Amino acid sequence: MEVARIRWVSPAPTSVDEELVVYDDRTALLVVRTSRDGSPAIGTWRANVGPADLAALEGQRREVDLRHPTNDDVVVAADRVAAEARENPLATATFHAGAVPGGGVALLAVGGGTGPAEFELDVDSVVVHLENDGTEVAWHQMDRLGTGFVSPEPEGLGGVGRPAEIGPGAYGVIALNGPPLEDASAVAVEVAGYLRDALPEDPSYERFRVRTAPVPYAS
Amino acid sequence: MRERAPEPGSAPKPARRPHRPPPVPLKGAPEDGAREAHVRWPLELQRLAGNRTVALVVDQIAQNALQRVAVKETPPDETLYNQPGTGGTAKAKNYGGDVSYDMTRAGDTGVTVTIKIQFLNQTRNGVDPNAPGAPPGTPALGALIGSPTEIPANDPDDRRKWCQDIVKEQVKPWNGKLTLVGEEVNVFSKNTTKRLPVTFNSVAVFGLSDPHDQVIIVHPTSTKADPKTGNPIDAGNYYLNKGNYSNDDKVIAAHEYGHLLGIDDEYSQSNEMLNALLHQAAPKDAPSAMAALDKKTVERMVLSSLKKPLLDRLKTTLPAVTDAFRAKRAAVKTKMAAAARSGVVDTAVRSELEKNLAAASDPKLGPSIPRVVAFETTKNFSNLTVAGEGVEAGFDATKMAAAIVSKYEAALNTAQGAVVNVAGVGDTKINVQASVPAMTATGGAQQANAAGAASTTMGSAGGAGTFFGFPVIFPASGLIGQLSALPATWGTAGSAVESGVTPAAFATKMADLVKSATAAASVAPPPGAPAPPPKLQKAKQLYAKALAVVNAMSKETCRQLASDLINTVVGPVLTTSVQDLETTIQTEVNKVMGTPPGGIAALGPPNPQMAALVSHMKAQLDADKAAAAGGGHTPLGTGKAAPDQNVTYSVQSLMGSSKNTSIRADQFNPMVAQFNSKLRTLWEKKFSAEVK
Repeated sequence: MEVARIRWVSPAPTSVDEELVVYDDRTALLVVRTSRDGSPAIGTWRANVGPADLAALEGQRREVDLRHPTNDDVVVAADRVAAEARENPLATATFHAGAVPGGGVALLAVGGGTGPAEFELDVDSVVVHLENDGTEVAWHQMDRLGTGFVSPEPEGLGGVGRPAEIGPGAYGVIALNGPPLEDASAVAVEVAGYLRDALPEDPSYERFRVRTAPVPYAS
Repeated sequence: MRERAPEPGSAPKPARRPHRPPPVPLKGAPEDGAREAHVRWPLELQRLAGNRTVALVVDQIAQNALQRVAVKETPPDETLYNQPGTGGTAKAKNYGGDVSYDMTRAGDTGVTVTIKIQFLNQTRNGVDPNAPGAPPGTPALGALIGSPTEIPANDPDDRRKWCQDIVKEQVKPWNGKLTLVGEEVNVFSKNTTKRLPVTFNSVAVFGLSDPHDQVIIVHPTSTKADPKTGNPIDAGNYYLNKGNYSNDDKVIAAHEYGHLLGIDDEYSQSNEMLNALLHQAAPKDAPSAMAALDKKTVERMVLSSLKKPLLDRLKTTLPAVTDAFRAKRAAVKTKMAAAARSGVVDTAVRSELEKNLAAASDPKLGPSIPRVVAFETTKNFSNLTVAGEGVEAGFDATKMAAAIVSKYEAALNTAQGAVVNVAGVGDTKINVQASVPAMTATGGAQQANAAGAASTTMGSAGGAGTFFGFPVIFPASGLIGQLSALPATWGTAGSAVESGVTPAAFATKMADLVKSATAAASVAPPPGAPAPPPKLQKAKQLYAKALAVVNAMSKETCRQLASDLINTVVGPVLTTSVQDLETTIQTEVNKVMGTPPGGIAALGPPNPQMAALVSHMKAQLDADKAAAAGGGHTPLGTGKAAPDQNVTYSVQSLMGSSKNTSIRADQFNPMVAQFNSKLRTLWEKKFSAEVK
């Protein structure tokens, strides 16, 4: 049974959205929609909760505004459990940018944990950021996504129009269509969508947003 | 929020200029005492020294004088409802902080507000005093220890430059918006209007004895922000190494700047607090927006309380919908097979297939690729098989049901989270607390009414049944009825099947999928992924690969077209259904909250369960309002009651949720009062703030 729920949020542009749900069996699930550390990973992670942290967290329902973080016992305990959870993925997807040989940019998603993270991309949300020497020089809204992820084999993995089915260790790619990308030495991809978390009771279906790390790009 | 750690060290305060002597009212003066006082002084001066002298003094003050005052105040603490209360309600907490800045008036040219931020170096305690073995007297985890030191000018992390960037960024949202507008009284001519643009400035100081308005400890890269080690980021501690935090220091700094000017937070407000804010923000003669906001609040409370009952009901009734869609699979398969047969030979598809195979093959196989692609997309292409399998996958009942539930939930969330434009303060979010949906959860006071309302909203697909033992045909109703009816139109001309499942649509989608497959096989694999297989060397391998790619991608194309077909027709119905639900709730709210008792009958029969929910939520809101009545904008800061609340409000402005950088003129009232008190000349009327 759920005994505590702590949610870390911030407004745009950081738009952090992490939620820790603690259960009376001394386990906790961490749902990450937009991470605090900027990592392009979404999904659900799992942690065990020590007796002291369980005592501190029991009965708490909080929304922590990260612009004004507090360091009381509850938030410190929640941070501790969340940090432990990040080591143990349950159903996650990590996004990467990919430079396609011969030109073009691709979005990659890698499955993690023990089952696929259930997410669906917002077809109009893809933005490619262009960088030179570590400085962003431009960004482009890419064309509406028409299809989902495809594995190298190839196999359709969904993610557009239907939930993605990217199992642990597998990865899929979407080749992005859009304007020509010039004068950039690196590219990063920003994308949003909806994530259905892996909470056992009343899983929610809420928006996520990620931005990949930049990868070298030869324009 | 303005809860800050005690400032380590203090600096000498700049001397204040003496206040103006209080004006002496004239006998028989008009109502505006301040104004007549301003008039009187020049008049007396004129009598004593002559017009020419007075005019000279006026010009000097107006054009050349540079006046500077230090403003330091301790206003009442502010209250924020950002703590967990009983049963999922929001609980109030007190936050304090001082106002501190320098204000300089350059004659009639403008006003500059300067805040000095002292950036220092200091360590925090990383030993948990409750941990086994912690020495007695260990301070709290994260407490600043020892004395602060200056950040060296040759700091290896160049923290001073980082600080300079912060102060430059923090004033950006404030500048270019505020003008102080006033009038200078002229005795023998028309008054002169004065407009003084206000520039906000922030200065980083690094000396221990430098005068300052705020102290921030800046931790070097060797110290990682981490609550576990006593290093959480907060308003008084910034970290170059943010670790797992993604706090935007510039956003925090801009927000804190507002507090130093005396502006309170405008998020996590109770109804009573927002009411006080509206009175402050709205013109005196404007009708209050509170009644409309209360109605909207009750609407959102009802919607929030219905979310889970609606989703539960939808899940149990969806089989009727998925059955109706699945009954049309045969027609979709036929159409899909025809589209696949024509679409797979499209030039774009073949081109992408050739690129895919070329990337996977040794160059010596290149000349064979067009022939292989032609074979696999014609003679060896089984359009019936790929269409059949793809449509079956796209019409999977379980996955279709899950997708519909997800989309309905997303539509409900969008409606619940929509901001309300409140006259006076602008866009405001209504935050319904967890205590409200708890009222309709199992065991909740409104569980039965919510379940009934959800059942009515969902309705049924209709069909044959019995009524008192007699066979009857029940009509379709509600959302389920609308969804179930959708595939019935698929056989007609111009239907979604006809317009959505076409050779062109198939070709576009398959070409994109093959392009992604090519990219998947050629981009650098992500960390941990297996390396790509070696290049194909033999023609037989090439044919096998081509067959696999064509089959997999054409089947996936059929599946995605099938999913698109369902999504295209279902999405608008779900959105409309939520809008209809909002209208239904609004109608009942208007009856309960907006209609005199004598007029209710004329509005028609109530929706009993919805009416009960509305009445219940209104009663909750009324109780919250009554309990908090008289508390004003800072109840805890002024010793008033601040009981737990079921709903809070967050203005979306810079000092609210920072969803936008809007600032209102009334927020500068404390600063304008300081200006009028300390920097206004004797013959100027009170200035007011104008914000663009």
